[in-house]
Amino acid sequence: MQKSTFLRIVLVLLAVVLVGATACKSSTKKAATSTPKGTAAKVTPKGTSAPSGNVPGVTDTQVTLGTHTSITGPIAAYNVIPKFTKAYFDDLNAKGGVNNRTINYIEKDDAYNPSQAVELTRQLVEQDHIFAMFNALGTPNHLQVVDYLKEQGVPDMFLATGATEWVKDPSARPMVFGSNPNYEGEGVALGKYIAANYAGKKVGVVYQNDDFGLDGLAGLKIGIAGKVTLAGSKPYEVTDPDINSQVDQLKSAGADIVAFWATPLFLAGGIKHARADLNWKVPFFISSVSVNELTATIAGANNIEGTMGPVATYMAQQADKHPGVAAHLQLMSQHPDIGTYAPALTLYAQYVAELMVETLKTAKEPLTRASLVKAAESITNWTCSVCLFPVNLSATDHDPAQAIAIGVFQGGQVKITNKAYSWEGVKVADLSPDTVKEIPVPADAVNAQ
Amino acid sequence: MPSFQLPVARVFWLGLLGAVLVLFPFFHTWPLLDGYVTQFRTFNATMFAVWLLVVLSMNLLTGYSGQISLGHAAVVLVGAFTTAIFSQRFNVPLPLAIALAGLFTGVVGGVVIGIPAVRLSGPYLAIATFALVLSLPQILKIGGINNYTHGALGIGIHDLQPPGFADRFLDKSEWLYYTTMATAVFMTAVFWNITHSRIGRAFVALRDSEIGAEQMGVNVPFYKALAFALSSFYAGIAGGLFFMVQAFVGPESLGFFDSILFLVAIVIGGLASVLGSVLGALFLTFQVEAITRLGDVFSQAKNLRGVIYGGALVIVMLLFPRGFAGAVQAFQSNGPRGVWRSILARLSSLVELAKSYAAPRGPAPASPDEARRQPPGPGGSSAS
Repeated sequence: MQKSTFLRIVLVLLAVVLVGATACKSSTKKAATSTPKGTAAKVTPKGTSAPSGNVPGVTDTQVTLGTHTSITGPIAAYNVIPKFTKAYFDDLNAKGGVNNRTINYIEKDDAYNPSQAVELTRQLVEQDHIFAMFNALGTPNHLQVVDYLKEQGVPDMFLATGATEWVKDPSARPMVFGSNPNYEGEGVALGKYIAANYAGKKVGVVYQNDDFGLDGLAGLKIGIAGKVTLAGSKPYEVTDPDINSQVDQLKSAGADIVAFWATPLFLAGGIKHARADLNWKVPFFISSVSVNELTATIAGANNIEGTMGPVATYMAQQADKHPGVAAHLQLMSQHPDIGTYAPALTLYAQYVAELMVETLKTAKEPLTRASLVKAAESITNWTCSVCLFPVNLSATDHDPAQAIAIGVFQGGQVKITNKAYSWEGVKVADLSPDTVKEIPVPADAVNAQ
Repeated sequence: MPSFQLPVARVFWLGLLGAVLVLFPFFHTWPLLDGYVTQFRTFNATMFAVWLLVVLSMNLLTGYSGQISLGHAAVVLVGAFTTAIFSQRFNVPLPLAIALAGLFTGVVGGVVIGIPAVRLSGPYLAIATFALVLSLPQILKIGGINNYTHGALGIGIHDLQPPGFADRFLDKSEWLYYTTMATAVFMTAVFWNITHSRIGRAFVALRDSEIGAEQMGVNVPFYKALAFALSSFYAGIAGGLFFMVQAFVGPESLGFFDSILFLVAIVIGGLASVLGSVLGALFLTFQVEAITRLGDVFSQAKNLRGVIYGGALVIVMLLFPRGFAGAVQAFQSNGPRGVWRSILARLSSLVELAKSYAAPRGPAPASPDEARRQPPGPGGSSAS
């Protein structure tokens, strides 16, 4: 009896192996007929609706974009960006889409966890068959997937970061595009502003201990060019509870000015501590990532009053004078679920979404990944509906926004001053006080007292 | 006289499991299965193998030896960085680099954590290991060390290709799957043997009572350090494979939250059990997707990730104190009824417990007013 059971088992196993072997053979054949590298063709879905021209994520009526972003997690405050982008694309789809294609935007929540970002990105590429990544958020997360995307040939459009790592060498990352003004550039600009207004004083820096903070610190050092001395630079980790002790240290080091490369929660806590607990009245300069209403709300309008930092778009309170901002607020009012605590962030989302649409619109038919990258590289002197300055891209410049105006917190709102700096077309390695030039701010934008 | 004949049923199931594991990367090309299994699942299965080693390592430490570590992600991260530095900077072949990483973390884990752990126990050990996971990213970024670790930018593999002989049948992701899965299966078998040997029994004795273990002749400091060394060895190998599979490691790749997830995984899967580790690894592999899927049905689920983990943990601890592995064992011995009966037994004992808390203590209150003034205290066992 045992013998016959055993025989049956062996037979079943044999059958399984045989079926498997035939499958292996057919898949080997498939691999042999695919492109030499065996990558690009292999991601093409089998059995799903055949895309036109065999490009993943593109049909005659639809183009699929994906992103890994923070809907939840420690930087969930930024989730208004993917939410607004989705709303913008939906609105555009209702009006007929772009080049007769609707945009299918798949946003996946990685909760700012790199290993989750890997899984979700693989899923986007291998299962959802996206055409391109768009506005992925989080440098540590994206570092974990950027080489995979390159290997799979997926364009990596307009990352939600200004780290120089992504844009400093387009030949090393030929399909990666940034979106924020890069942190080193804004560092030089802020440094230049500080040097012009506070010569002979001492500046202290609190920075996040990663490429975001290090880029900013490097830029600031270039920008002040010795006209202002460095009282000290204090790093913090994203896992730290707050930056109060760094602020204390700078105060005892006798800093006359403090510059922060910190995200809104840390920054707001630090500013509150300096103003309310220490009664420390020195001028503050902050990175563009925190120049928004959310920071003001958390820090308290009184504490943050007078703090300066870079801005690249018009502000929400300028809707009466600026049609682009008015249209933005109109769309926002149709989507009350997005959250209106930080209009500066949704205005940024408006800018990247428009930039993506402009790229798709410019791309030559048949739409392929190569034509998309080419289209992005051909964008010159294009200004989004809420932007202060034009975007210029080229094969050697994957950094769209390279100009900022200095904003200032007044009465809990961000107002725009008449100072602006541009490093248009300047490579990261060439940033200096001479290459970052002062430029005029559009006259209708200035509203700071 | 021990019989070398394995039970036929076991041979069958192991054979089937083996066949599934061997053929898995090709399921997505099979006519009947391609509707369910996509190419992406190969990556899922590869990560499963990595997480399996992580969970085994965690289970050896916490499940078998009773040492709670909140810093296990740090050990995995050290393994990943060691592999990365050996293979990318010193051009050591990747498999050798992974083995070296395992040895390195094994020695470091045994000496740096294991020896202090002899004096630290329970919550103190948990706090010390917690400090480890919080401080590691900063250590990796400080000057000097960051020449090797590239600071916040991390280290990537740029030209990982399957070796020439495999080129004809396997693409990169299939090759990664086979190497990772084979390592995981082999190390799981070794794990099974360790935990069923003298060493494993010493670990369990240590967990149940240190004094008792010492009385029975177990060298407590040695076995404690050994538990950390072995566990760190597994974590180091897992870290090396993590680097190979993800082709990148940075200081933030694994952090405190992952450490907590590892702990959740072994509790949900089942402490001190190989099957529990497999189930825990399945949890780690699919938790993100499961919650995303849940979010399609119930939109708030996406925002309640932490609540869901916490809730799942509490429910599992209440209903299946031995994790899902315990439920599976109940099913094996008594069928679905066995599972149902064990759940009912747990529930009724919980109800009893709740009743004992709710029941008034001491002389019964004379009037409802008085009862309101003297609510029953929370301490059911306190002698009042």
